[in-house]
This record gives sequence, C-alpha cells and structure tokens, in this order.
Amino acid sequence: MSAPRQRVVVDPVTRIEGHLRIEAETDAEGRITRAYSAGTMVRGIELILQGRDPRDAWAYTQRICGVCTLVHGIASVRAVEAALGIAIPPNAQLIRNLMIAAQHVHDHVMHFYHLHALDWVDVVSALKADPGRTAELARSVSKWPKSTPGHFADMQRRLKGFVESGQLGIFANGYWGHPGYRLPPEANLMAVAHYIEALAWQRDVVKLHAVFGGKNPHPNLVVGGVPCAVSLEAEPRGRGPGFRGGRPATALDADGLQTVREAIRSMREFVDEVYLPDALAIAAHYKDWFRQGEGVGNFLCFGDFPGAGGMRIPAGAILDRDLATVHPVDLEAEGEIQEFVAHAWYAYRDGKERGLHPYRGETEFAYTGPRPPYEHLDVERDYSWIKSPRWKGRPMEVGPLARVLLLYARGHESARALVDASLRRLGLPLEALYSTMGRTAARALETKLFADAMPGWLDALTANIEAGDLRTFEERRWDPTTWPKRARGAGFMEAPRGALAHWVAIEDGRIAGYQTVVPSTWNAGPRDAAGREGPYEAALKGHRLADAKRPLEILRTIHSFDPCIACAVHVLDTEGGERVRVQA
Amino acid sequence: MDRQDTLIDRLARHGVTRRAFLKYCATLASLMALPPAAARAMAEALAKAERPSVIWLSFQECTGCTESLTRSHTHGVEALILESLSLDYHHTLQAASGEAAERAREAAMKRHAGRYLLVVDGSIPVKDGGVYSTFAGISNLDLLLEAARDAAAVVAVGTCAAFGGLPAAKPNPTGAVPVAEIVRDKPLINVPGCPPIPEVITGVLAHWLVFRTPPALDRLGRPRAFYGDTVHDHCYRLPFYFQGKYAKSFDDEGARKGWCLYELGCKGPVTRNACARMKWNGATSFPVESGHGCLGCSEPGFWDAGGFYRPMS
Amino acid sequence: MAAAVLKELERLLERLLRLGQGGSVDLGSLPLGSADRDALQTRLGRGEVEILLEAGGHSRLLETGLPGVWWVQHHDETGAPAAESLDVSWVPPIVPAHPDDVRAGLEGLKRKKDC
Repeated sequence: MSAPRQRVVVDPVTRIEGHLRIEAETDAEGRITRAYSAGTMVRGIELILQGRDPRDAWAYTQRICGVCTLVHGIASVRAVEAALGIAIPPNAQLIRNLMIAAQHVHDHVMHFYHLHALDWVDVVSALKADPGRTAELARSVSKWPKSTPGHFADMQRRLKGFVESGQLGIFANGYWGHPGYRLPPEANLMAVAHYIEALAWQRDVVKLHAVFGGKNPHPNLVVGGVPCAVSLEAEPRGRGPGFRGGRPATALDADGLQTVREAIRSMREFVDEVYLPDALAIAAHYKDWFRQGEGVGNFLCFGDFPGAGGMRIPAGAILDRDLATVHPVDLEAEGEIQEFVAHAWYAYRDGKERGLHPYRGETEFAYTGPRPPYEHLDVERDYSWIKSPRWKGRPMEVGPLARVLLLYARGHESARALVDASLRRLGLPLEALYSTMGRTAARALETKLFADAMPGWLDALTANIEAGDLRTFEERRWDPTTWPKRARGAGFMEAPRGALAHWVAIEDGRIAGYQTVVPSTWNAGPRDAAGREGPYEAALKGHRLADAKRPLEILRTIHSFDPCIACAVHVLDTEGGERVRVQA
Repeated sequence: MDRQDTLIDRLARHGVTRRAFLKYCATLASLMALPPAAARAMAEALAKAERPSVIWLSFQECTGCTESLTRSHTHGVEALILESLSLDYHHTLQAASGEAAERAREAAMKRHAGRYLLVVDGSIPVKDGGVYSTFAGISNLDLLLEAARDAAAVVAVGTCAAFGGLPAAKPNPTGAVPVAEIVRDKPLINVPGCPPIPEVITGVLAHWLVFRTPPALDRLGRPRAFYGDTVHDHCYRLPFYFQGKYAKSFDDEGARKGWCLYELGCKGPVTRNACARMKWNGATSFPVESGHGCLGCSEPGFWDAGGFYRPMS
Repeated sequence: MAAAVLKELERLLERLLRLGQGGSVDLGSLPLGSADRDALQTRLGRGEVEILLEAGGHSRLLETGLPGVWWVQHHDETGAPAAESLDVSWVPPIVPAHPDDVRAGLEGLKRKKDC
C-alpha cells in the first residue's frame, strides 16, 4: 500500500441514500486537485437472484433501494417482459407512467428539502429572520396560501424551542455560520418552513402508489401489467373479523381514482407554488455555483414514459456538451455499455482491464482495501464497491440534467420554454446548466414537466375504463411452461437519479443471469482502466474548500447528483455460481 | 451546561395537559397490552425524565425503513411525543457529514450513556472481517457493538435488521446476520416488515419513549400488539376464502370482484403483521386490497420461501 | 367472559379497601362480544357520578352501581374510541389535579396579584 497523501476525507457522506465516502486531495490553497468516490457497502443481490423465478425478480431488485422505491421493480418487470415478448395492456402502461412520474415528483421534492437544502440553507440564521418580511419574500415568488407572517412566526418559534432545548438532534454539528452560506435570514426561514411542510405533503401524495401498489415504500408490481384490477361495480364485499371499512372490491375503483386525482393536484400545486419557486430563489443567491461542478460533459438517457407518440423522455447520448448531435443508444450492442472494475473491489476472469457488456457481466468480490478500522483507502489501487460503467468507453452523467439537456436538444417545446424562461430570470446562459446548481435547477424544472404530464395519463385511463376497457394485465406467458427454453432481454427506465437498465437471462424458467446498471453507478463510479474519472470525481475537481474541517463545498456538488449508493452497488452475475474471494 | 428539557415540559408548551398525556399513556398501554397500573406509574416518572435520545444506525439496508418512518400518519399527542425525541444521529437526515457527524454521534452516546435508544436498520455482514460494509472506515459489526454497549435498549427496524432479510437470502454472499445474533445482553425489540408499517414503527418508538420498557413480545421478539395475528385473520377477503371464491389471474372476474388471492400465492395465512387491520399510507390500501398477494415480508426467511406466486400447499 | 371480569373486580375492590389502591381491567384487551358487554353493563348498573373530561379528545367516566368501580371510555382528538377500561379506585386517578400543576397554578396566581 502506498503512503497516504494529505487528504480530506468525508465519511459518511450524510443526507444521501446509502454509504458513500469521498477522499479528496487539496493543494496549498485548499483547492481540490483529485477526488475519489467510494461506495463502502455491498449486499450481493446479484448472487441471491440466481436460479429464482424471474417473475419474482422485481421484488428482490426493488429492495436495492427504498428511496426510489419503485424504479428497480419497473426496470425488472420490463426486462422480463422484453425477454418473454410480453406486451402489456394500455391501462397498465398508463398506470406505470403515473407511478413513475409520482416517484420523480416525490423523490425530487424530498431530495431538495430533506437531503440538499441544508447545503444552501443556514438553519440557525433563520432564527434572525423577520416573519413579516419572510411572508413578503414568499409572496413575491408564489401564491402559496400558507405564506403568512403568522405561519412563519410559528415555524420560527418551533425552531427556536428546538435550538434552545440544547438537544439539536439531526441539526447538531451542522456547518452553521460557514462563510459559504449566503441566503438572507428570511430566505433561510422560508426554506426551513418548507422543509417541514414538505414532510407532511409527501406523506399524502404517496397515496397514489398505495392505490395502485398497495403500499409505499415498496409498492407491488407484476410481470405483464399491474396487480390491481379495476373494480367499478360495487359487489357486496367480504368482511373479516377486523374489518374497519373500505372499498367494495379493490383499491382501484371510483374512490381510488379520486384519491389519485387529488394526489396529482397536490403534487402540481406544491411543485408550482413551493418547490420550483424556492429552487430558483435559492439559486439566484448562489450564481457562482452555476460555474463549477460540471462533471464529464457527456450525458446519457435511456428514455421513459411510453405512449402513442413514442417515449415522452427520449433516449440518446450527448457528448462533450454538443447539443447539436444526439447519438442513438443501443442497450443490446456489445460495444456500447460496458462495466469496468479497474479500481473496484471485483475481479474479472480475463483481467481487471477489460470492460464487459451486462450480458457478459461477472461478479466476483475481491476486496483488496485496508482492514477496518482504517484511515485512508488505497486510491492507487481499488477503492470502491461501485463498478465503472462507460458508454463507448466514455464516462457519462445520467439524471435530471441529462434528461433536460436531451429534451432541449430534441426541441421539446415545453421543456425549452421552461428552461429558457428560468435562465432568463436568473440572467444566465444555457452553459450555466453544466454545473452544480445547474443540476439542482434541472431537477426542479423536470419535476414540473412530469407533474404536468400526469393529468393527461389519468384522463386517458379514466376514459378507457369508462369505455369498458378494464384490462390491466396480460395473462399470456404468465405460465412458465409457455416460455422458451432460453430467453434474454433488457428493461430500462428513467429513474429520478437517471438512466436505469436491467438485463436478464432466463433458462428453463429460472434466472440464469441478471445484471443492473444503475444511475448512481454511472455517476459515482471510480476511475476506469484508462484512469478516466467518474462524474462525481470530475465534478469535485477545482472546488476551493473554505474550511477543510467543514467541507460544505464537497457536499453541495455531491448532493447535486442526489446519490443513491445502495443502488450503485448492485451487480448481478450473469454467469451464476457463488464466487467470492477476498484477498486483503 | 445545556438546560434539560423534559417530555412533559415540551408537551405543556404545545398545550398538551397532563391529563391528555395520561390518557394517551392509557391508550398506548391498552394497545400494547401493558398492565394499566404499571403504565400510570411510568407516566408519572416521566415528569422528571429528560428528552429521550435516539441513535439510528443504518447498515446493509435500502433506506426503505427510514422512508417508511417518514410516511407515518400520527397525530395529536403521539406526533408531539415523537417530535420531542432527540434524534441525535441519523445518517440519512443528519445535517453534518463525515467527522462532524461522527462527533455528534459520539457526543450523544457519551452524554446519554445507558439511556439512549439504539435503532438499527439493515443487516450486519460479518464475513471476511466485515469488509462488505463500513462507515467512517469502521465495520458495521464494530460500530454496532460500540453503540449497543451503552444503549438502554435496541430496536431492530425492518426484516433485514430483525431477521437478516434480503442480504441474508441464499447464498448470503456477505455473511449478513440480524441484530439479535450480535446484541445479546440488551432488551431487543424486532419490528420486521419490508418495510414495516409506518405507524407500527412510530407506535413502538412512542411506547419506548413513554414507558422505557419493551412492550409484550412474541417468541420472535415482535410486539404482540402488531404481530399477534396474521394478515389473513383480519383480511376483508377472508369470507371469500371460506366460500372457495378465488381470483385465478390478476384481472379476471374474481380479481375485479375482490376475491381471495390464495391461488395467486398470497402468504397472508402465515404472515403475522397488521397490514389488513391498520392498512397503509393513511389507510388508503394494503397489498391485498390492491390486488397482489401478501409477500410475507415480516416473517423470517420469506425471501427463500419458494416463490411469491406459488400457492401455499 | 363477564364472570371472569366480575371475579377480577372483586379482587381489586378487596385490595382497594385493604391497601387504599385498586387497579383496572383493560376492556380493549379482552375478547368481549356485544352480548358479553351488555351482560356486564346490566350486572354492574349505573351509579351516581358521571365525569366528563376534555383532554386530547373527550372522555367519559361513569360510576357503576358498584361504588368504587368506574367505567372509563377515552376518545382521541378525532372522536374515535381510544381506550376503555374498568377502574377500581376512590376517584379515577386521572381526575384529581396533580401537585405540580397545582403548584404552577398557584405561582401564576401570585404573579398576577403582584402586578
């Protein structure tokens, strides 16, 4: 092991999903010269899936992540449907679109307030705010009815009671008073109030998932459609001993549709009147963050929201910021998507230098890192449980910024109008999007696009049901005896954190191989065999740390990607068999 | 020195009177099958107690349990009690990162030694010296041992922490084990489910915060109040089971009429959980009501039980 | 079932007379059918005292025909039934004012007088 250099270590990176460690080297001025991103937890879900019923796979893969709780389930059922040639009914497609869009809206709002906001918002400064002026500020950016002086005074009182109690809880040891915080006290109070409001809001809007999937987190899905049958006639229902009232037959009846409609209304209102205005108001105070934290300049989308007019979010790749050329992407092509393990704790049979397409993917644990407890990782060798995926050899950023750029490049009208108007308000050029704050702004902008698309899908679903089309499930090919001896397929989607795909190989009715390449693997992966950094690592370069003990700048950029590390450390073995080897 | 703030003080500031609090205690004691006299004595003792400190550690998990906690529809006194606990460390919600976060955890553990409640989600990989999950360079095993040493009690939230869950499913590549295999000398409450019902998590936490003693548990360490009966026992589709009316597909006539899902693989008859009684997300629905059989997610080994669509024989 | 409850009440009443401290029977935890309930109500009868409480939802405390046995019904903020028990005591312990609250009230009274 080489001698560790002088390094800033952030472990754990909090306010993310999962276990992430950042090590950064700084120069004499505190500027980051090199950064290393390490996933420090692995479960081996890949090995666990071997030999199981492919119709069950969605439930296992869904547990890769409980934050973006829907997405691995969707990618999984789509992969199995692709392998078996199953076309799902239009109603099932509409319901999945609604569930996916709801996941984006819920996830992005929670990310902004509960995981990201405290990088920009100084909670302690909010105590100095004037509630009356806070209400004025809030009303200048939106029509949200709660923006009254009394409401903000009440929130401030609660916050004060909390701080004065001496037990700060999750706010303890925050970087309060750090020179990097630049919001006036009133903007801080407004954001803190919305932090609390968003917590109550999110509880209600997930009812959309509960109607279609029975619960959230981890709603239920099914290969071939959706599990919840439509029940419009009120049959006398059974009453068990603990029966406490409810619907006649299934959750998807007229009442259920009304719950869904109300959830959509609430989502759109919150996005239009709270989230988007807050995001832009905060961004206006941090314009220097529109000039740093770019990443790799390459962007990738797999596309999502299928419908009559094709995918609402297009698939494609953008290279070196060139929006004039959108490259087509093929998930099946050997030479396009490959995963490397040159600096990850895995071994490949033909050596660590090669990249493997997911259909040929291998998973062999080969830990070479230090024995815990440790101070530093050996970044010259392997340093992460996350692999390094590449598209045609290049590191790619996935996520909201990639999607907004793709929509923009493809000339999507409402996306262009929204992006242009927002940038105009901030007085910034399009290039400003290639940055930490650009990523955060893109997330808010796309949330509005998805929320606005939802009523159309619900109307179409309701119209189908009224016209007598109740189909939600394709039964043909449910029975494994109807399956070919061998089949394989890829299922893809756009998860909140970016392009997600699962590859499945089926043999004799069982999973013979399963591989996932997930958003945070693209973004958080370590260097590849050629030494090219992943997006996190590239984005951190050049940041100047005002105070290495309080690395707020690192958190801003890492959180702008919205890490989901349990997702990133996935890896499913297509070859089968347990082959775990530990060297250290 | 920091001023100590008692639970009663905080409740009083929010306009909750002592009688309202005593009444809530009586309700909770009834729900948790606690002797009423004991409940009253403990409620009295609370007037002198400091705000309870909670340390939450996440190991091999997916954050679904934390997400579930945030979905809890509690109201009134219970909501205020939960608000009044001091969540001194929680990796997903903590403002500070890295060293500052770890210092906050250590300070809370020291200050509340012997009194804090340790909540764990996720399993603990013990194979190969614990290299499969670390945290600030420390293995999950070492961190759990350290944090459990001065805890008053431990709550294992979710099936991974309670029974090993998904990471421990065959072939258990990382040697994942539940909390119970590591912490043997502390009161342990298992709150399984993938994830557990939000109000079950908050109910168990509130119970601890109020009474500082575990509720009545079954032989698997689960609170009887929530895990005493099966999903099947309370299922609104149970009469169809007795009538022999079964859905055979996900959108046949039976599925649309809400018939029993037994033949589609429902594990409700062998799954002890409160889904059919308490339902999910503000009582909007629960898996069976939305057309999918129960996966059995609050039972040990449910991932290896033979397939979610295979009818129980 | 009603017989078992009556037996327990007998024990608790004896205890109250002997030690000055009774106890209570949690009706929520018993598998009482509506017939059992009616039988129990008829057997216990009504006493002279009815106490209404407004504290985090309303509560009704009814003295039964057996002095010292109180039928206690608590409802939560939304009006839903929250707990039900038979309390054996001189006065149900939730009713008397708590010394700390009396102390706080007295201090408040003195402060008001001073100004």
